[in-house]
Amino acid sequence: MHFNLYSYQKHLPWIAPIILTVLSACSTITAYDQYAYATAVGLKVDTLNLVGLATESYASHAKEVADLTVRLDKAYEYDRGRPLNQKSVQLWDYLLFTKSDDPDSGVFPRFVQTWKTQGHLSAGAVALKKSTFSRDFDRIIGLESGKIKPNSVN
Amino acid sequence: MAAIDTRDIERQVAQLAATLFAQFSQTAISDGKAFLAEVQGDLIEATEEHARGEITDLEFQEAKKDLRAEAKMEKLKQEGLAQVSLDKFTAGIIDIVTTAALAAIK
Repeated sequence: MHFNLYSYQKHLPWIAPIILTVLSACSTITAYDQYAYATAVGLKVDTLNLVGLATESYASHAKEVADLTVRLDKAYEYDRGRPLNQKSVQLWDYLLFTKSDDPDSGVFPRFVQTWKTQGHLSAGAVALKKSTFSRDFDRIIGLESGKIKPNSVN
Repeated sequence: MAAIDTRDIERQVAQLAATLFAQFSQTAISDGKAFLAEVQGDLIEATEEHARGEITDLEFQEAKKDLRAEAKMEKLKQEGLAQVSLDKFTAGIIDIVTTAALAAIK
């Protein structure tokens, strides 16, 4: 079917609602979620506090590690339950889980394992870990805050 | 009913695309520069501390893994933000077409 400008304009009133319906169903990523954002910000602070304790013995902080691990898992599960949220889930995945085919993954469990293995971390390593975790959480937070706020277009 | 101004729709869509995608690429470039500077700084610090014996071999290996992990996480974040830009563009088109259609009905 050939559309010239006149026929395009003639058909637009009935074509437009169809196009708009299709387009509005075409979101590729979920909208901003205040709870997910606030949770990630809180976990960033808690994780940096815990990392700051890693110059002390692991045994004396094992309970804090276990508590934080549970809270990180809860945040991950919350984000995993949101539709069209693959990129945020992949960021959490990278932070929380070590994959057999990617030794760089699992930033948090690798930190815990090093702390366990050595008993404590050097001050220099703690500073480096803090800087890494800070930026890693900023990526999760930055992606969440960049998502479209409900009821806004731009 | 008045005719829908399709030329105006096209102009607005083009303007929206130019604004949104220019904003996205500017942010991505500045994020990329910041990432490189931070990672480079940490890598130099880790290497020097390792050479001075201030961090262990295991800690040094871990630091390198962490920095490689950061590159992969940065890529994921940028991919997510690109999706957001695309969705904003789609929402913007809906807004433009709806406004034009409503104006034609008046």
